[in-house]
Amino acid sequence: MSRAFLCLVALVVLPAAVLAQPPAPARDVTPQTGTAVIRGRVLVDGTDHGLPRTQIRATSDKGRTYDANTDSDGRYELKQLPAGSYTVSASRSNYVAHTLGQKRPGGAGTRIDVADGQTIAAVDFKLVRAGVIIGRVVDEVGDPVTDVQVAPVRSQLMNGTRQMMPTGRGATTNDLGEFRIFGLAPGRYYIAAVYRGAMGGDSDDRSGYGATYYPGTGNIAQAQRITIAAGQTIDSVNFTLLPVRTVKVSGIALDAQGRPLSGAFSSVMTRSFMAGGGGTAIRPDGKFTISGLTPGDYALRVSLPGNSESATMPITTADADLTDIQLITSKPPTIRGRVVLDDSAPSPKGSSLRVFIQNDLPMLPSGNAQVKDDFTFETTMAAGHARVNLFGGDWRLRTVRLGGADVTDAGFDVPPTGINGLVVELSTRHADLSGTVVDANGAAARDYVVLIFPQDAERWTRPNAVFTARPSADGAFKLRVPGGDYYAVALEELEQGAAPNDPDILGQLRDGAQRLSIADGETRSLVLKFSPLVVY
Amino acid sequence: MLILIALLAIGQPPAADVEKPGTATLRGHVLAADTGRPLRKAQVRIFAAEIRENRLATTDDDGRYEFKEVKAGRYTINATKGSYISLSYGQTRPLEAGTPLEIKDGQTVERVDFSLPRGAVITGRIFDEFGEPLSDVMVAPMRYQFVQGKRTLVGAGRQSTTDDNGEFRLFGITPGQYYLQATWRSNMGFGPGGENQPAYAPMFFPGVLEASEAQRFTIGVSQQLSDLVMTLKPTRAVRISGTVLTSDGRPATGMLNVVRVVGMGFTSNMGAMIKPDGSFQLNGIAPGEYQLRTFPNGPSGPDSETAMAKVTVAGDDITDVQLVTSKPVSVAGRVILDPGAAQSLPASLFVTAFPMDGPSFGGLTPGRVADDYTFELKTSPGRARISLSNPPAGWSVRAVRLDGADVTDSGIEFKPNRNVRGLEVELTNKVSVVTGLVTTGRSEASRDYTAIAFPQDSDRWKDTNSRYIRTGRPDQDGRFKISGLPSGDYLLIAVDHINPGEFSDPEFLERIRTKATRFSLSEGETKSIDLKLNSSS
Repeated sequence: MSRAFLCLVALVVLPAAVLAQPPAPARDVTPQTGTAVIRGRVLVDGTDHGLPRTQIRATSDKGRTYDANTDSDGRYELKQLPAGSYTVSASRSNYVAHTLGQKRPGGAGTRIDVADGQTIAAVDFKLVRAGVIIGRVVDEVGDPVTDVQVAPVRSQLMNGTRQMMPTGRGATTNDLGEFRIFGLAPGRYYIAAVYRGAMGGDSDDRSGYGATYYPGTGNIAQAQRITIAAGQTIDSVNFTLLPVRTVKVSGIALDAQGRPLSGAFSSVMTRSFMAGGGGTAIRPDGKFTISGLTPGDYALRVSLPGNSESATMPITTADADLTDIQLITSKPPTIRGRVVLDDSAPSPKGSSLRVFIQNDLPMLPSGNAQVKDDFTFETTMAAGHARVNLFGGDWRLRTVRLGGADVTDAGFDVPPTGINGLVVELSTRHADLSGTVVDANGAAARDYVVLIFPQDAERWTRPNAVFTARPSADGAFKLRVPGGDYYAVALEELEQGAAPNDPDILGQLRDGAQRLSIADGETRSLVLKFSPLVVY
Repeated sequence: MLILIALLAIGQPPAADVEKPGTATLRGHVLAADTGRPLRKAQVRIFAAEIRENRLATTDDDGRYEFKEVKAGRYTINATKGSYISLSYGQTRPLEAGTPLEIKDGQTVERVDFSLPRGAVITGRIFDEFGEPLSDVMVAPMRYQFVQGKRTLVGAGRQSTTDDNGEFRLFGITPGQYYLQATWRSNMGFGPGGENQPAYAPMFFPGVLEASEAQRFTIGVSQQLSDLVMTLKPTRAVRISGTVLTSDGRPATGMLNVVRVVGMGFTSNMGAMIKPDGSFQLNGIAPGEYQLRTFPNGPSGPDSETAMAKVTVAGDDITDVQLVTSKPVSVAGRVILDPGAAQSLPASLFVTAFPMDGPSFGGLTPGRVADDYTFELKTSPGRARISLSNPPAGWSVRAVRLDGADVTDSGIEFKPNRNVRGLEVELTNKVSVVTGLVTTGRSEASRDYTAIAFPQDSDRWKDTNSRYIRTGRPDQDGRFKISGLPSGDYLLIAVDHINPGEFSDPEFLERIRTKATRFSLSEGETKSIDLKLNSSS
C-alpha cells in the first residue's frame, strides 16, 4: 500500500517544479549504426573483481543512446556505433552510477570522440557500492515491532507547506524488528520510522505510535542526520517508537438530499509524511466513527461507490477526539471553460491541448480535460481548492482567469456546484536565456546548475515559476522562460532530492543572485559566478 | 489497494434505522503458545456476517481483551499478532475455518482464549547467473488451494524482497506444504528499459520453471529453515510492441502498463509511455501471461477510455499488438421486488458487475438504486455477473433478467461501445436457512465438522463462485446453520475435514454425493436436518 501511495505523491509533486528540458537535439541525420567500437571493463572499486550485468549506455551528442551489458568478467563492448561524440555511463543496482569523467555523482561527464572504423579500448569504470543503513525498531518495552516503514526523509514543500517526505527507497521491519535500507546515494539523511496501526471502525484502543526520527524523537529539530558516503554501511541505527494516544473522528454523512449516507464508506488518509489511511462503513443512520488516528493532518472523505457522490474535509488531529463532524456529499462538480490562444504561433487543433486541474489534496480526483476543437473544455473533479496545469506542447500557461480575477498563482475554490467560465490563456511567447558559468578563478565551469526564480517571493512555490538548467556539451546553458523579473544563480550542484523551488534555499540564494528583467521575445546572454554553498 | 480490500471486507451494519447498543460481553486472553506468556497489542476481531457486525479490540499488557455492548449474533472470532500465526476461534488445524460462537442478549462469554504459535521462518539468498547477489527479487511462499474448483498454486502469506546481499526472510508462516517462487522485479517505476536488458522468468526453488518440478517444503509449527540458495538464470527477453488508438481512431495518449497474471492475482508491474503516434514498446519481458492496460495522462474519470489485452509471452517478440480504447460500458436497468418480500427497499443499494473472466482491474462503477428503483452502472467489456455490492443484511438477488432471459448465473457478455439497457434485477429479503446437529458413528454429538450443501444437478457444480454451494461449521451447541441458498433440490453432508476451497471442486462433490442426504428447499424456507458424520478421506 505504502509504495503505491509514495508513487502517487511523487507523480503529483513533479509538476510543482518544472525542470527545463534540455534543448531539443538538432535534427539527427546520422545513420543509426556505424562501424566504431567502444569497449572496456567495469570493476568493483578497490578490487579486481569484474562486475557483471552492469548496464553501459553511450549517449551521442545528438541524444541517441546505445546500450550494452557487461559479461561475467565485467567486460563490455559497444559495437556498430556511428562516428560521433559520446558520453559513456555505467549503472547497476546497488552501485553508484557513474558517467565517465564525472567528478561527482550527477555531474557532467567528458565526451569520447570516435571515428568510423575506430575502436577505443580500455574505457574502464570503477563502481562504488551504494550506501546501506541497518537498524532495528522496538516498542516502549523493548519488543521488536514488525511492519514498521523506515525511510530516509527530507524536508520538502508540498503545496506551499513544509513536510517531511521520503526520498529514495525505504524498508519494512521484519519479525525481529530489523530493517536494511540499501542502494542509497551518497548524501545526508534523516531516518524516520512510521508504524501505522489499524485505522478503522470504532475501537476503544487508544495506543499508537507517532512518526519517530532517529535517534528517537518526534521533533525534526532534535533529529540527527546521517551522512552516508559512497560504499559506506552504517549499522545500529536503532529506534524506540514514540507511543502516542490516538483519537477518534466521528460525525454524520448525508447525501445531497439530506438522507443518511448508508451503504457508503468513510475514510481518512494522511496529508503529510508517509502515507497511511483507513476507513469504515457508514452506519444506516449516516453516522461514522474512525478510530486510531495519530496526531497529524488528514483528509476525511465520505463517498458513494464509484465516487458518484462524495465530500472531503481536511482535518488536523491532536490529543482530543473530533466529534459531530457533518459531511454533505455532492456529485462531482463540473468545470467548464475555454482556452484562449494569443497570436504568438499558428493555432494548433484544440484537441491537441489538455487542461489539467489539480486538486490541492493529491489523493482526490483532479480534472483532466481534452480541449475540444472549438477550444472549450469540460471536466469533473473533486470539490476543493485547485490550480490549472497544461499539457500542450510548446504552449504554456500565461494566465488563468475566473470571474475577471487572475487566479493563475493563487488557484481557486471548486464549489460543489461547479464552475462555469474558467478562462485559460496560453502563449508560446517567451524569453531566451543562455550563458556560461565561471568559477572563482574566472575559468569556465563545465558542470553546474543554473536556477532562475522570480523576484516576487510569493511566487516561488507556484507551479512553473522556478526554472533550472544544466550545461550542454559545450559548457553553455540555454533556457526558455516567460518574460518577467528574475534572480539568476549558479550552483555547483543541487543536493540530491532538494527541490529547486524550496523557499528556504531560494531565500539564501537571493542575496548573492544576479537580477534580471526580460520581456517576451527578448534574448539575453548571462555570465554567472557560483553562489556560496547553501545550507539545507 | 489494501485500504480498498479492507473496506470491501468490512460489512455493513443492519438496516435498522435506530441502532441500539448490544447487551452481551465477550472477553478472553491471547497468549504465546511457546512460552505461555501474554501477548500484548494482539488484535482480536469479531465478525457476524448475518447482522453485518464487525468489531476490533486490542489486548492489554496482560494479554486481556474485552468487547462490551455486543449484539446478539453468530460470531466468528480471530486473533492476530505480528509474526505469530493468526487463529480463529474453534480452529484445530492450519488454514481451517473457525467455528461460530452464538452470543445471546445479556450474555457474558468468558475465557475465549487464543494460544498463538510463532510463525515459521524461511531465509535464503538469490544469486544471478554470474554468482552475484540479486536484489529486488520477490520471494513468495505458495501452496495449492482450490480456487473456483481447480487446484491452483496461490500465494500464501507474506512475501519478502531480496536486499543488496540477495537475502530474503519469510516469516509468520503457517504450517503446511509450500513451494517458493522467486520473481525478479525489473523496471520497477517505469524506467526506459534498455534494449539489451536481461530478463529473468519467475523460478521455483530449487531453480526450475515449472511448479510440477519444484521442491515441496513441508513446514512445521514455528520451524526455522535457513540458508536456502537459488540462482536465477536469464531467459530471452521478449519485446512487446504495437499501437494504441482511441475509439475515434486517433493515437491514444498516456501510459501502457503491463502486469504479470499469476493465478488470481497480479505481480511485476511495469510500463512505458505511449508515443505521440500511438505506438509503444515494452522491453525485457520474461515469458508468462500478461495483461496490458492503458492509463490516460493525468487522472482518469468515470468515462475515461481504456483498453485491455491479454498477452502470452513465449520465446518470440510480439509485434503489432493493436489496442483500441473504449469508454466503460454503461448498463442501465431497474430493480424490482420479489412479490413475497418486504415491499420497501432498504436505503442505499448498489448494483454492480463482477467480472467472471479472471482478474481485472479498474473500470467498475457500481450503480446506486434511485428512488424510482432505476440504476446505471459502468463496467469493462467482458463477461460479468450482476449482483449487489455490499448488500444490507438479509437482502439478496433473486434473479437477473435481460431481454426476457435469465442471466443470474450465466452473467452477461459486455461488448465495447455497446451500452446495455433494460436490465431487470429482482431482489428478495426472504432468507432460507438449513440447520441441524451432527452425530458421530458412536452416536455422540460432533463439534468439529463442516456441513456442505450443494445442488443435486451436477451441471451447477462447474459454476465458479456458485451461490448454490455453501458450507457451515458447528457453534458451541454443535449446530450448523447455512443461510441464503436459493430454492431448489440439494444434497447435504457433514464431513470431518475439508481443505480450503475444496467444496468448489466437482471431483470432490462427486466423491461425497452418494453419502449425502437429499432435500428440497423452497424460497425463504427454514429446514432442520440432522446428519451423521462422514470421513472426507
